[in-house]
Amino acid sequence: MATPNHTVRFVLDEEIVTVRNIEPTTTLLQYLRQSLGRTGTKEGCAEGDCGACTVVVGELDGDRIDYQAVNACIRFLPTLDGKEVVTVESLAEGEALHPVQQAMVDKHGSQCGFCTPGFVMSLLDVYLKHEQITAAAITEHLSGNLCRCTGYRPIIDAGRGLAAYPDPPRWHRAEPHNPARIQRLRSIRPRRGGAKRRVLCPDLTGCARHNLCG
Amino acid sequence: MPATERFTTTGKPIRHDSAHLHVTGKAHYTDDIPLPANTLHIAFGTSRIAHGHIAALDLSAVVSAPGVVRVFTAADVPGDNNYSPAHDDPIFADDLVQYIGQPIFAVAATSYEAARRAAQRAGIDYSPLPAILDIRSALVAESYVLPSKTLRRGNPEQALAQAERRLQGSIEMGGQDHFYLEGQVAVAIPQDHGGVLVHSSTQHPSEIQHMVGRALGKQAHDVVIQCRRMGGGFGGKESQPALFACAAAIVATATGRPAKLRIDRDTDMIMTGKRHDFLAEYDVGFDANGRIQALDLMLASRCGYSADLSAPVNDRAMFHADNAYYLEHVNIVSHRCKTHTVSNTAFRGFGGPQGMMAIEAVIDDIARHLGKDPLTVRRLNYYGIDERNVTPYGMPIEDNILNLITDQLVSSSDYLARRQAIAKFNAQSPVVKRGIALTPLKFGISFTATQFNQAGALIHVYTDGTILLNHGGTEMGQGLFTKVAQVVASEFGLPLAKVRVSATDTSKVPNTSATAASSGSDLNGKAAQAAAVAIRERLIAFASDYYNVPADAVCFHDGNVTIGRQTISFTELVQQAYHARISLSSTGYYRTPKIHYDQTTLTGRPFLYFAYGAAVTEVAIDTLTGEHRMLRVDVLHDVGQSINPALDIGQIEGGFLQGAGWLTCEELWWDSKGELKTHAPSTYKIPAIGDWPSDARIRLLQDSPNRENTIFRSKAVGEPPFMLAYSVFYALRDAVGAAAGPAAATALQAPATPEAVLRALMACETSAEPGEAAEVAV
Repeated sequence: MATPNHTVRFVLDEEIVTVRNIEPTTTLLQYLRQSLGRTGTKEGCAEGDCGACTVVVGELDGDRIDYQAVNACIRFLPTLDGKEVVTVESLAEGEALHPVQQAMVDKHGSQCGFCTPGFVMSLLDVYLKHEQITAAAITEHLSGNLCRCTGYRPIIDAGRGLAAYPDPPRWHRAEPHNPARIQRLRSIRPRRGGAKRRVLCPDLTGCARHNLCG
Repeated sequence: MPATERFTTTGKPIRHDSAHLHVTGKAHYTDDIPLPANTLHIAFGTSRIAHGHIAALDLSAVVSAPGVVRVFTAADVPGDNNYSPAHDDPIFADDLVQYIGQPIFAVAATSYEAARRAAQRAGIDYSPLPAILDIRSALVAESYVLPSKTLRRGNPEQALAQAERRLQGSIEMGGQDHFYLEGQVAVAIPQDHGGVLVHSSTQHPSEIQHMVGRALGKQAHDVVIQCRRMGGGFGGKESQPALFACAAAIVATATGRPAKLRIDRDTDMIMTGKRHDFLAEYDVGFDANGRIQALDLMLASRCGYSADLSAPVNDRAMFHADNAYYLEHVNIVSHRCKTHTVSNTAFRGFGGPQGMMAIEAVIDDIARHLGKDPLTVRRLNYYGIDERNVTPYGMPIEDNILNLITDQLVSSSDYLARRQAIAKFNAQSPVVKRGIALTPLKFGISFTATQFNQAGALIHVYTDGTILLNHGGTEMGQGLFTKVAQVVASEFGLPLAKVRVSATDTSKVPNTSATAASSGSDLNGKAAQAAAVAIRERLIAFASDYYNVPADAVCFHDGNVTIGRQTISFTELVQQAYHARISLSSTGYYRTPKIHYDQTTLTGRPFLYFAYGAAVTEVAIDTLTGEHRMLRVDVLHDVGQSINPALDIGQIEGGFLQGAGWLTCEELWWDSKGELKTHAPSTYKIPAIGDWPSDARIRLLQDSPNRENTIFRSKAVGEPPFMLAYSVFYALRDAVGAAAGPAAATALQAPATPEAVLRALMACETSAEPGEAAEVAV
């Protein structure tokens, strides 16, 4: 078991979130929903098979960020240390939807809507990785997302139609190379292999400034 | 001049009213409602055996577990320890347990995790009793949860004896878990008068209200149930949510603290009822062409330990055992088997799919027995227009469009040429075999319980010209709120944005029916229309008087009202009416006309009309692994005059694929102790994105308004498309037949998993005649 008083830091919506004294088996989904009140990410099966809890996680990979869709329900929060988390709430800019959201609306891709945030985030994963999105790429990237209402056809159509939308202000295809994002991740990069203890934030606000590795 | 320019918003592919909320994660489901700080979380402790008495119940370790505030058993239920209108579903088992997963107690704790952990610490000793776990065992033991029923017409025994040909057979079809993505959940908030407000994910708020009231020993007016939306329902949130709402309400009122009960996926799949699995056995007489002369059909279903909705589910199975086919001499016996498994419940189609599946198997078996294309035999048995047009329950069919749909679909799908091409393909493909099937459906629309065919609505027009709409229907993704808003906007000639639909709430519209039986927009659309028209008529009378014009000179259109020669905005007229003290709020009410039905003789007109459709599916199977793929699907479905074609297509596609899941990949499996082992998506496979056929041509039947006076002449669309999936199963039979002969084809049972396909292939391996093709349809 990890030491409970270790600090976990991750980036969420351009802010550094600092978490202390967390049960090491706390999942990212629990933290998002219960601690942060970000209830857009849903629990469907709590075992990583239905995709309702899909979020995108970014990790530094040299001079770029590697973004991957993951199931938040089986991802322990401490494994997010030094990484970036993107949720369904991260995408829209005011009232302007991200293409993966707008395409789902335009193609009638949601019915009950409960699986939709997960599909949106898996579509973001495809969107960030592919300029031209083929049906095969959609099937592959969305194979872990279950929908019980639609026959998936409108969701496939939404994915295939993504190229028709203009670049969004946020979460466009250049984000993996965005210097500000890379810099932010570097600033919280965990020390590897060190036995050094972290110095905890002296106040309880979770500010990034004090959470330095000692 | 018409009172409104109709169809300004109806008939258009308008997006779901919550689509923006869905894609941004802002849509609130019950689990997302912000909770007061002192909320308690609840978990159930459940039975570990299928049948037996509770010999000893030691909850001391549960009570002392961290975070636990209180533990509740049957003794803690202040009112009626029951959550079902059939009165045989205890909230907490007292002495007798009848299925694995049955709730015995509930823990209320300060966190969800603490409650779940504590519930595992109970010490329960049982005195086991013999358990009946499947249909065949129940039939042998004559273990029934309800009396068997018989529906008969003519003289089937004599007609069978005199029939030219005769065939006996059977088909088994499995159950199905709803797998709504949002599991069962309720949040109960105590009220200062001792009552309770419950946020429940339910298709049936009024029933929940009554069940909660009785469980608390209180009255209906002490309880309010609200539901803004469900994350899927499919029938699984018709009766089942009452258990969770009752338990949450008991905890909330006993502790004075809000209480939330959300179960995880595994618990949900173990604890809640599913589609009934069925066994159908038949004895059919027919002529040399395959026209049925007499049918003796036995339908047996697994109801589980209690009645729940099994009576109407099995009634509907009997009513639909004709599907599209005229049965002159017929005897249908329905056994409602009691087993020591979870109590099965409503699921899209409500028994109809199982009854229709039985007759489709009969027809398919006849065709393969005669070496004919099953489509030929199907069409030969279709109901007629002027003759051969009365159902076994005595209802004349007045809206038969079976041949219209079939002709169009045969042509648009190129069925005949493809059947020949498939025969050619199979002749030279030793391992992969293809098959094709066209199957029709006819589905009766109305609740068979006649009293449920009523609805209410409440409309407020505010002085800024906006409208708040409330009705008794619930939103589970089907787009009901969108359709009813379209109806109301149309009646006022307003843009859709002027109409907001609010959460279903038992304190706004009382005594509502479940949003079920595909009836949501038929009933609530009409009720809302009545409310809108009532207000509009008041506005017309006012405008006529105020502007001194005849009433027929007032017309609502494009957000404006033309009154004689002048046009003012809707808002302006509303404000003038307000100042003249005209009521701007109205209820609306609707009851379905024409229907009647005698429960004892099972005859009458239980349905206002029928919805129709047909599908052609082509599949390929791998005879070495039993796996299959859908190569192409063509659907032609009847929704009357569509209120919203995008939503209707969504229901058709989703229903088709859910039906395909039922008949191919979704397999519920219990072990020999009666424990469900397929209780999560890891072990229970619903269709995924790769299962949608790459070539799918889904169309609405055009120019075919409902002949009955339904809302804008539309037809119900929730359940009927589910049955389009028969085409998948019977195409699989066709492919199996191509690989291993007709006896192998008819050996295929549902769900046609790869294992089931292999079993069918191996059952008759020796009779294989590669490349065999059935007679071509004419």
